Amino acid sequence: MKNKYDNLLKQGLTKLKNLEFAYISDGKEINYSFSEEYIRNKEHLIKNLGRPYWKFVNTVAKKAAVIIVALIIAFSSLMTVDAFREKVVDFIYKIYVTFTEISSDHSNTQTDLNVFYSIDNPPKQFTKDYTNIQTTKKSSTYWVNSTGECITFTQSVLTKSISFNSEYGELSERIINDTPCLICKDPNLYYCYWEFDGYRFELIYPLDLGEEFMSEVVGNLVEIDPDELSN
Amino acid sequence: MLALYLELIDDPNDQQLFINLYSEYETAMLKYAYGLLNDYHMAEDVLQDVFLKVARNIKALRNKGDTEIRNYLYISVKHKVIDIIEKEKKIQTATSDFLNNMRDARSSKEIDDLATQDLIIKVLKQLPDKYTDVLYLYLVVGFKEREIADSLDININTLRQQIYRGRKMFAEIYEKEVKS
Repeated sequence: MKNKYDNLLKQGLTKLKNLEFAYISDGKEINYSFSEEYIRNKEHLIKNLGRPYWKFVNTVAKKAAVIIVALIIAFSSLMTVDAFREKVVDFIYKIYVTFTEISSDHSNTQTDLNVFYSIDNPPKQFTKDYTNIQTTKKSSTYWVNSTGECITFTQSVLTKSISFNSEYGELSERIINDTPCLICKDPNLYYCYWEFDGYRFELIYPLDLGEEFMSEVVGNLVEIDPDELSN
Repeated sequence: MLALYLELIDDPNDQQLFINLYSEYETAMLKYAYGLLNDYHMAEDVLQDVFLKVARNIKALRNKGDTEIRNYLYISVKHKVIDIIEKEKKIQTATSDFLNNMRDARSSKEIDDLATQDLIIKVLKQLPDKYTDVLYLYLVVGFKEREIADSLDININTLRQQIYRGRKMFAEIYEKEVKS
């Protein structure tokens, strides 16, 4: 807003300020060296103020940090709710299982367990405990010894997925008796997977039986009557 | 040291302007600040702050006259000194006296002589220093309100009020003087 006295003010202020500061010489007569602290502080201040670009980056970084902190807080709060926590755990478990699942490429696929196989000659110290037939897709037989160690033999259709905990295991592929096998060895057990006659087989047994036991079982399965399984 | 300031300034012409200001006025500004504070350490603090503000506001100084820039630098130093005194409350009660006497202590005789001959100066002498400073930067130097507020570390609304009151006070006193 222009004032009617602005022109007068401009004239007067120019004279006034010129006179006010006129007495200050160029300062050359001052024999003064700036202190180290002055120089250091100046550098420090400038570093903190930074460049114009830095301000932008800093602003973005701050916004990002705020968003991340907000998300962490929100996630932590949600995880205290049982219903939500269970879903998250299930989700993670599903991913874990998916990546440790055994799948196979096959042409001769059995849709049901029409023929049953079993171990021909289990170790003498193990006695058959029981057989569990789950629908017509999967059958598991268990042998135990006096110390409670267990051999598990499972036959399933190929469409039935098998998963196992591979967290501590060492996975390897090997040909045993002309049969490709996937073997996992963890600190306590051997896991051996192979396919035969359109079915998948799983053998889980204690480490002290050694790898030889796999050789005895894989490729030497015997066909049995379903009635025998229940005995 | 100079290079560090230059990091705040993008334009090569602005950099050159800043170099010139730095080399031309730093010592004089130190002398002025020391004269007001009688303390070199505090005077250095004032310079540090003022030059950082100059670096940030360098674009506003483009195409300004030497005298206007010089006066702007001294006004900035003066206001920083006032800030320091008020913040430290060293001479709390003396602050107003300091401000009142500051002009008299330095340019007194010449201004007084002029005031007797020049009505406008006589009227301006009756205005508080803070009003004449902001009016000078606003009307003579041609800074925008925001640039003045940033340079002098004052709230923009306070600045607008000072400009308004300064104009009003000048008009009232001037009219009164003319009538008498």
